[in-house]
Amino acid sequence: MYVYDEYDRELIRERVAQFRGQTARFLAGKIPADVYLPLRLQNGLYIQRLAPMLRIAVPYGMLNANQLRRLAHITRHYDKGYCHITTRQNIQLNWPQLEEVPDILAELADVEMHAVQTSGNCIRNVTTDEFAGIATDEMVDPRPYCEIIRQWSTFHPEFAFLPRKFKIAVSGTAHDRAAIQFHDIGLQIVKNDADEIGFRVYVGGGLGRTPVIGTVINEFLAEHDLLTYLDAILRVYNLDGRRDNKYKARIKILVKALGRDAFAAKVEQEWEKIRDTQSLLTDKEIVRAKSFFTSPEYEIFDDTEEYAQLNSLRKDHPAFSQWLDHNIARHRVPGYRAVILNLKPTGVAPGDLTSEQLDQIADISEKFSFAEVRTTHKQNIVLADVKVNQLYTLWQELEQLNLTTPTVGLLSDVICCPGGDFCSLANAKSIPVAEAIQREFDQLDYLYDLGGIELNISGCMNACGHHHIGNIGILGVDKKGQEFYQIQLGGDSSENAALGQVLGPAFSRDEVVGVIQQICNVYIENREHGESFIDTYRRIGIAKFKERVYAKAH
Amino acid sequence: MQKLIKNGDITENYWDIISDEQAIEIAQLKNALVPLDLWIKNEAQLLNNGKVGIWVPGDTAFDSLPESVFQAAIIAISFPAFADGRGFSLARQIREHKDFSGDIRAIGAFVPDQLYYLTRCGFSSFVLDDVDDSSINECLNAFSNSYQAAVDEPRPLFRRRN
Repeated sequence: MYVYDEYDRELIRERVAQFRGQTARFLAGKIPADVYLPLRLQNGLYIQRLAPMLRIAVPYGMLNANQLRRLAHITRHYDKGYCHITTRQNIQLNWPQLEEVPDILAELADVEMHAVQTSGNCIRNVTTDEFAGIATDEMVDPRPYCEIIRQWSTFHPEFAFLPRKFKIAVSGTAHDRAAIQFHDIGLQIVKNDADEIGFRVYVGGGLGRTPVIGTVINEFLAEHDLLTYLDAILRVYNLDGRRDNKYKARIKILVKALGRDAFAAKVEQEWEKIRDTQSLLTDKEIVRAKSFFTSPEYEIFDDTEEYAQLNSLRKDHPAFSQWLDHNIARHRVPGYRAVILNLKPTGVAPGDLTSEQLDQIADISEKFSFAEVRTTHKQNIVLADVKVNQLYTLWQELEQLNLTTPTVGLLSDVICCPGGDFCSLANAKSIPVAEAIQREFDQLDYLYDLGGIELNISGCMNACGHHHIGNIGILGVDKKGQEFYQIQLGGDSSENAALGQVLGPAFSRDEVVGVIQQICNVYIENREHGESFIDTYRRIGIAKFKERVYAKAH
Repeated sequence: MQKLIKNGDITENYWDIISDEQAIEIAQLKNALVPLDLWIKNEAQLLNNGKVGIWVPGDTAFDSLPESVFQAAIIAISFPAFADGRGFSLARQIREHKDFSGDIRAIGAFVPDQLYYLTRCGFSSFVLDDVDDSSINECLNAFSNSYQAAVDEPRPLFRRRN
């Protein structure tokens, strides 16, 4: 993973000093609250319903054991002993004290971490596939490009006061695990006929109030042109994006208003003026970025042989067997697997981790996976490089930490925002809904029979829980001061990007679980030949689901 | 009294910002920033007056600026609100697309904590109310290096890194 040099260290130290000064001036009454607002937001600090919230950047999801231990210490010392993994691979603290935030940032800087631009109307943390570098279907590892983009966007002087926030995601596989079509810019790594690397550039995707699937404005952007082209897109957006209405300020609205061709032409026009500047990437820089993401010292194994031994353990250990079937992902190197630590056991807020778990995951990562982990946009943790012959030992250790619930990718592996329990924007609570669903759907055999279903919950239309792109999406709404929940079906975050359709009028919290049950029943009754939920939905449409759910409700 | 920050010095600001409606004697103008319309109407006369600059609102489109603007000694860009970042791009366009070497002055509602980024984007002087002298230097010199290219350093860090 990327390692800071003296330049990176100095910049992050200076950022801590800058924010310490700004906070001191704010507390002394020398900076008005409305001016301090964007300054603190660009250091990840929100003022929430109950306390401030600090969002710590985890660049494209990569964390090492040292950083995990420091996070454990920070959650213990400055917070209430836990943190939350977000849908953009970041980490949130729910109870820091404003006065202590500069100290927290200094603690983070010691381990090459920060909270830079995790909020505010600026370029946010770049995200990618949690299986980058190890995926069997990967064309090119996206992380070197993510790091190049991270450095370019960090303290970008021109784009710190954009009309609205700006999110970039990169995918190095045709099967998109980074939801790139739902980002302000999505970059799909591709190769041309000459086998040269480039990017298919999507612009104007996003969720929130007006969910939109991104539009391709460039089928092949050459590798070296990455930063100048990003500068051109951002400049057009900074100058022409709407600033009169915050709900119409995202780039997706500009792209829709101008139309794809006119928007692309504006970008081209600006790009022509800057494409031959020194921001043109050099081979040296690409090689340097790639040098941080080389393969670790893998041992040589015969995969079939290793796995056969594991299979022999299944009979005596059914729980291990279930975990093996559901919480493991394939690895490009024989004899290795990626392991997904499931942060969705029933009774725990989805994506939450305690200080103890953070410390122990650090130990486990050192023992089993080259001292690194990744956070995922589905709010889980991945150990990317585990030897097949250590999976059983690892499973035993993870059992002690309550991180082995064998339901990854299933209905109860819910994506969920913090919702009304914490967030001041929320219209409704989301965590209790997730828990009610997990309690109802607790039979593993039934969940396995249902197969892969993405269920996403947001507590308001800002859509942090990505409800539009869940196969089943639940949105908390406010009706005359009462919490209600709207259900959507058919969303898809993958390369087959689709937005969910609203099923109909919203339900009370008590009704939600019953409705999900009816939706599952319609699927089971209608599926053909092992068809997945989303495929069945696409074939039969929403009407059958609607009929069932509303017929019984009234 | 407003302050003018230029080359790291803080002095009294004695430059007037002339509005569109103001009745003025063109020949008498001194230490004044005039709006675009007035500049265009009196171009020949004003170009020879080194004590007159131009000011434009932060939402001005770069392509709408006539060539004579780039011959002014000062182009001031007025921020309607500090969170309105269009002025940052406009300044860069003026510097980088036109090689403008005069003074680009930030006026209006920007705040001291933006001084570093403004400087990077090509602003070379700043008019501020109620300056807290002690924090200005801190704001101007928030960072000693930068990752990406801008007006102050056209080479991104990756071309300068050892």
